[in-house]
This record gives sequence, structure tokens and C-alpha cells, in this order.
Amino acid sequence: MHLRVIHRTTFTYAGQAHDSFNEVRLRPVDDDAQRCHSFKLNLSPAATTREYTDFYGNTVHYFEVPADHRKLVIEAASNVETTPLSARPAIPRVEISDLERSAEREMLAEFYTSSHYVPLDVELWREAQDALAEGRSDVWGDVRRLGEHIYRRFAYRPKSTGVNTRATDVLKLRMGVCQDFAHVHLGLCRSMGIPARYVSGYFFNTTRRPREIEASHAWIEAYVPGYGWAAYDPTHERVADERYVKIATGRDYADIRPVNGTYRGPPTRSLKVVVTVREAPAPVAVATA
Amino acid sequence: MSILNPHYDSGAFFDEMFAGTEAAGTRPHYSRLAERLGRLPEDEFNRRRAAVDSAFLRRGVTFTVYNDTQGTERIFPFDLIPRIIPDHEWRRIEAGLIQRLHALNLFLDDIYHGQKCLKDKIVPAALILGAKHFRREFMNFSVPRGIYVHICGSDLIRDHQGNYLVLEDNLRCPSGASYMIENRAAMRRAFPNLFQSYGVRPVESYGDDLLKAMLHLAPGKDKPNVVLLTPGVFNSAYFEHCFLARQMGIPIVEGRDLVVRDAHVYMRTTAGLVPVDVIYRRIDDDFLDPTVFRGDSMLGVPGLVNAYRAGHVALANSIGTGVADDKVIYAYVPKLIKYYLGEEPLLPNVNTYLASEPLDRKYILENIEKLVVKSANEAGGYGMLIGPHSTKAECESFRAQVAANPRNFIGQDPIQLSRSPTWCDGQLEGRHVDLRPYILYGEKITVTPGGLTRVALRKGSLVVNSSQGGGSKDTWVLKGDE
Repeated sequence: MHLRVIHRTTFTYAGQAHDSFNEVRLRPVDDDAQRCHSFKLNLSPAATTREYTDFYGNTVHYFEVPADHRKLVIEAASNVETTPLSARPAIPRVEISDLERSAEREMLAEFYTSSHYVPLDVELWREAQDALAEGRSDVWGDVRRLGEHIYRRFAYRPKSTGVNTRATDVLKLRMGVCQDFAHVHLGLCRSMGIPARYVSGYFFNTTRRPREIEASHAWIEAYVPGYGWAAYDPTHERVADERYVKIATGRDYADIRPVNGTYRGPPTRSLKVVVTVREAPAPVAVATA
Repeated sequence: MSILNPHYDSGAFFDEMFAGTEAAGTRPHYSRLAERLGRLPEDEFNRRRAAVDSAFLRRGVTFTVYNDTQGTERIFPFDLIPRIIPDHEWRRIEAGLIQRLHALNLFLDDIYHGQKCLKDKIVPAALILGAKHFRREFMNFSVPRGIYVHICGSDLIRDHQGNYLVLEDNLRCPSGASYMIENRAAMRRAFPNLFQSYGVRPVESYGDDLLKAMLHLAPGKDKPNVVLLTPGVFNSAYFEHCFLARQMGIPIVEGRDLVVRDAHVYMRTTAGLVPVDVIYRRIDDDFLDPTVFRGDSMLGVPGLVNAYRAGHVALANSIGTGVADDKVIYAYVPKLIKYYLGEEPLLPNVNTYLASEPLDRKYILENIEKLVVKSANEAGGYGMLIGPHSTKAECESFRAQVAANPRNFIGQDPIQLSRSPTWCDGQLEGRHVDLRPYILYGEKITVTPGGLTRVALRKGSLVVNSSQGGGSKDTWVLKGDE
């Protein structure tokens, strides 16, 4: 599937802002399930961007706006081609005991220990025990059952949580948005010893009603030995398929903040984020002379 | 009456000055000092002591104690009896420290690039990936000249047989070098003649050597600008920051004095913006740049990390060195020396138990009242239990902490630290000491001959940290053995 994504972030300040330094993670990754054919970062005021690849393989662009400005617009435009599930390799059945014995597990330690948004409290372990009360199956089977558990037992309520809400808070509230569901899912998987990481990205909503708000999305990936990272979306109770565009991965939200920065100037500012995901025609190969 | 104490008792400890239990068996490298002290009347000694104390106060040689309701700057108590190290002992220390810093740099380079030591299972990957000071942001980043640690302060102690052991490495912002130099100045004034006859190696070139190591990081620059970045006047080591900047002849700046433009760092001056090439930073990683690290910090410079990443400015020490001075990683340093250099460690570690290892953890929990237990990421004597000197309740509290978060703790056999004669309440008594030498990595690795000898002034105490009631002594490294 060919998708065109526009992600526009607008900061409007109550006065003149200056010395603005920013890091953004907005470029879709290239992996077995998707290819980013083009990416453009448009900035207003204009600024030179530099980039590096972070620890998790995400592309980070950074730039500075030293001069006075009342408004900062960061617009990322990407064309991405995703692979249908039917064309991806099947996820194998791997026993939990084989995961624990696998050679890779040691190197994945940070994905089954506590992280900022996912402190491995005993409450998460209890919730996971509850969800798997009928007994453990294989690795991927457990990941899916934990995800289904969240879908059924937690209510989707925009604005019920904030950017600082941790997995343990969500467990008490029993409600949240995609970011919260992903954090809880990570907590449940990790409590069961399954390495799992946070994914930020976009979801192409084919059943979208006109004027329905689109936004960034979040889901998780769990590590299945012999396969690699397999993606599951607890907010929609399904395997992430060709409608999902992945931007970045990390231990949790703290590692993948799409836009992160500091500035000097008035403390009051407003933030507006607009995301559109549309199906696009396949890029035409241009013959060069 | 002389100040030498005829009833001096070395006890069961290794004494730096006296070989026997009686004052009679003075070690050869102390004999000239003993002779001099033997001829020195007590009131004359006291006069010199008072002169040194008031000089320290006048010069503002102070430090700040955190978590103290009196919240004051204090003079670092200074003891007039020097600690003396003969040449043959120093050579061994020097070689051991150079070897150690060499290996630690190779380790950091490996951790932030190929992670070969994790793949070869020399260090458990979980320890590094879970370490507080492991800076993922700098994975695959090549630091200027490939040097991670430019300034290192390693703490050495001596056991009951006088063997030197490494207690810990300080690879982030080691402090104390200014006291080493100030102590020397004080001793030169107090005992001018003794110095000349003894052949003591100078420590005063430390500032020059440090500056050279900084300049080494700005190759090809005609006149590189080096600055010292301090958190400001409220930092416990602010005196030292000013002192070292003055010694090096470089500006001392706070975060707000620096500005980043197009990924280059500049210093604000009355004559406009001046480019900065090298920053000797005395600010921890977390506070360097709010864009990348702690967003709530006002100490740092927004954009600094990007300028560093773009290769336009050098930082000393580099970002992310704390992963190698973690007290858990410490236990692996002898293995790392063998792994990277193929050599046996010249300076051994203190025997250490890792709470993260099941067998060791069991041992720590069962023997906590016999051990010294330390938290992995704390420094300055905070977050530490000395089992034999602690109450049952303190031991219990640590037992619970270790069980809850084993990754964060180590246990060590308590070492009967060596003692050095120290002037206490009007007479010489043995007090426990350690030694922090300063190692610089510029064109090559060098160790300043001397260091900071810290002394636990409270009778029987093993805690030498200035923040916990410690004092210091001048450290004399001799050109010869006597």
C-alpha cells in the first residue's frame, strides 16, 4: 500500500520566542515491512537541519531557530510503501522456555526491565497473571492475549490521561489513549519476561468519517526468537498490518518523543498537531536520459 | 617538648610512617621528617598550623556540605603531617593507573561502538543496558581523538599489609585537584627547608598539563579557546572551578554565558561572541543541555549537545563516561584490563560481591553486618553502609534495599585502611587515609606525582570524604626512596 503522510506541528507563542533548539523524530523507518520513498521536513521559520541515527535506529533531525519568532511550524511529509500481512513471513510458535534460553535475550535486557513510563511494579505482573489465567501458550500467543485483555478491560477515553501518565497510573484509571494502552501492554509483556518495545507512527483509518480527527498512533512490538520484532496494536485489538506506518521505536514514549526542544521567551504557547494519512498512487519511476 | 608521641600506637593497622607498633621503627622514607618533627617544639608546630589555617581561610579554599542544616561553606581541614610515597612505590602506582585508564577508555569506546565485550560475555549486557549513566544518545558517536576520559581521579587505599588497592574510579567530573595544589603551597610555607632537602616531586604543573590535554582536543586550530563550564557558585566545588580556570588562564563560564549558533558554541563577552573550541565541563551529563537531557535544568546550554555531535566543540570529559565508573562495572575492571590489553592488572581491586549475581546476593544478605555495602551510582560517601560500624536497624534497611533492587548494590570486604600519623587534640595519633591521584589523558596518559590524601579525622572512622568529616594532607612523591 502506498501512503502519503503529512504531520504538521504548530507552536504559537504569546510573544516573541527565540533561541529555539529542537530534536524531531518524524522520518518513517525502513524495514522489512515498509519503505520510506521520500521524506521532507519543512520548517517555518526556515532552518538548517542536521541528522543522526539514534541508539534504536531512529532518524533524528535537529535544528535551531535563534532569531525572534511568534510561530514555529514543523511539517513532515513522507511517502511510504507498506507490505501487506500476506506478503510478510508468518510469525512462528515459540515456547516461552525457548525464549528464555535464546541467545539474543541477554542483549534485549532493556526491553524487559523497567523504563521511565513503564516501571515494572508488581501490579502489572498481577494484571498479566490475570490476563493469562488460563495458562501460558507460546510467545506470540501470549502477546496477543495480553493485548486483547487491554482492549476489553480498558476504556478508550481521549483527554483522560496526559503526556506524563505512566503505565501504573493507567492500570488504576482503567482508561486512556493509544499511548497509555501501549505502555500497559509493554508492562504486561515485560512482567512475563517477553521483550517488548514502543512504536510510534500513524494509522491509515479506512473507515474514517469526514472531519474525524486523525492523529499520531502508538502500538508495540514484541520479540519472537527466529522472527524478530512482531507488531500488535492493543488499541484496535489486531496485528499491525499494511495500514500502519512506523516512525520510531524505543523503550517507551520517552525515547521517541516526535518533537522535543527548548526555547527562550514567553512561557505561554499553544500547540496544534494536524496529521493526515491518505492512500497515494505508486511513485512513477522517472526515466533519465 | 617535641610533637612526636612516644606512646604512638600503630595498632593492628598498616601505618604509613612507623613499621612497628612503637614509634621507634620509622620507615626510611619518613626518617628525615621524624628527625625534623623531633626537633620541633609543640608551640612552634601550633604556630605554623594556625598560620596555614588562616591562609586557607584567606584564600577561600572551601567546600560546601549538602544536606546540612547549617548549610555552610567550610574549610577543608588540613593536617600538617605529610603523607610520603617513595619512588619505587610510586612507579608501581603510576604504571597501574595508566594501565587502568587505558583499559577504561577502550571499554568506553567499545560500549559506544561495537559492544564486543558484551557479545563476548565479558560484562553482562543487562548491566550496561540497565546502567543509569549509559548514554544511548551517543551510541556510534566518535569522540574527539577517541578519548573518553581526559581527567580521571581514582581512589586508592592500602590494606593491612600495605598493598595498594583501587577502591573506585571517578570518570565523570573528579574533583579535588585544587586541594592537592593548595596543600602543597601551604606545606612549602610551613616547612620550606624540609622540602629542599627531601627531593619532593612538584605537583604545580597540574594546571599546565590539564590545559595541554584540553588543547590536544582542538587539532588544527590556531589559537583554540578553552573554557571551564561550572554549574555556578552554589556548587560544592565552585572554589576549585575558579582555581583551575585561573591556573590554566582560561575563562570560567556558566551555562548562560554560552550560546549556540548554527551548531557552533560561542561565549558572550563585552566584545561580542567569541568562538569556543573546548569545554572543560564540571557539569554532569544530565544538566549539559536541556534539549537532549533534563528539560527542567537551567544550568546547561541549549543546543550544546548538537554542537558536540556536529564535531564543532570538544567536551572533557566526554558524555557517557559514567557507565564505566558505576560501582558494579568496577568489579569487572580487572577482567576488562585482561580483555583489552592482555595484561594482568598491576593494581588490584578490593574483593567485591555483586548483588545482581544470585550467589553473591545471598552472601551479601546473610553477611551484611560484616560488609561494606554501596549503592552503584552514588558518590561522596552517600548511600553507603559500613556493616561493622552500623546499627541493626541500618543493616536491616540496607538489606531490604539490596533485596528490592540488586542491580544497584555491591558489597565489599571491609579493608583495614592504612593509617597515617595525624595531629588530633594536641597529639599525634593514627588516622585512616586514602589517596586520590589525578590522571590526565592528552597526547599520552600521565599521572601527576602526588594527589589528594584524604584522612578520616574522627577516631576509628573509615569515611574520608570531605562532606562527611574528612580532612586532607599533602602527598609527597619522592625523587628517590628516602
